[in-house]
Amino acid sequence: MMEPTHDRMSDVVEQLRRQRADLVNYVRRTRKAIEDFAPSALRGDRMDQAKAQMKAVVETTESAADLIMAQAELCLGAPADEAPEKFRSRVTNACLTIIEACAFQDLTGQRITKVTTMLNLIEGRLAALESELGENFGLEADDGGLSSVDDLLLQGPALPHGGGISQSDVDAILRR
Amino acid sequence: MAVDMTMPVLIVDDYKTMLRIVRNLLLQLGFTNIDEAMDGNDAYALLKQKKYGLVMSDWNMQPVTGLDLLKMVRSDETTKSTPFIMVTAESKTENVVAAKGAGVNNYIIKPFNLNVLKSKISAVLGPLP
Repeated sequence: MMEPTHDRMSDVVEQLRRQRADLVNYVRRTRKAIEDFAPSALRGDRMDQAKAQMKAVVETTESAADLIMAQAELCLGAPADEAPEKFRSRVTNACLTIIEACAFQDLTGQRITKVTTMLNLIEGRLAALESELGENFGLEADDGGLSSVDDLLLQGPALPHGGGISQSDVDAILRR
Repeated sequence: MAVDMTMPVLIVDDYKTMLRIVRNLLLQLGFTNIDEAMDGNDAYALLKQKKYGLVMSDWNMQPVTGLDLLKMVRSDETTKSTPFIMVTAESKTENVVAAKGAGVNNYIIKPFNLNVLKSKISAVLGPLP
């Protein structure tokens, strides 16, 4: 008959063996999930492409706004005594240029669609990673690098129906 | 009392296009003396050099934001009574409350039109001609 102490030691060793096996399985699953997530692929070409697309959106819209503004200034700057025919020609040319410039909407729409697709891919992979590991990786707690109260206040333009307030709401707050 | 349309007006925005939009709209309203700055620091330097009748500033600029600029203006004896309108895409209640707390005279949400601009300036300076 074995000593009771020896029995307890055997139980502890068996428990440790099972925990070790669980740990090894967990590490393997984690490794596989991270491989599937392919962070290096996302960080590389695709992320660079997404950044480039967004940069292009900013540049294209700025360029279009610049062009449209220049045409409006051409019309506003017409001399008061300009001959009607010349004024008509000036306005017609400006309008045509403005119409052409509005093509930026199509281009930026396509670029933004590409970035949205990329974000959807990341979201899908993150969801799969979270599901595989059964844990929350603290994504909700991530403040995105915000560092001050002022940063926290700045949200940029609100999305349509995205929680921004209207000019009349602003006026009401200022009247209080 | 009629608004002096020749008074210096300072517009502040880090987007050249936005400066251009506001400048054109102000010219359309009859203002003739308009200066521009592209961030809070440059704006404050101009405010120290010249007495402005109105400041219209964006909020989201780096390194000195429009809210920072407003606080600097209000804490300086020589500029503290300068009318200040925030013109921004920031449209959360917290933003408006913070700006109000810092002493903003009015707050315009982008995008806006000439009528909104005119009514907000009128509310601060008095009826425009």
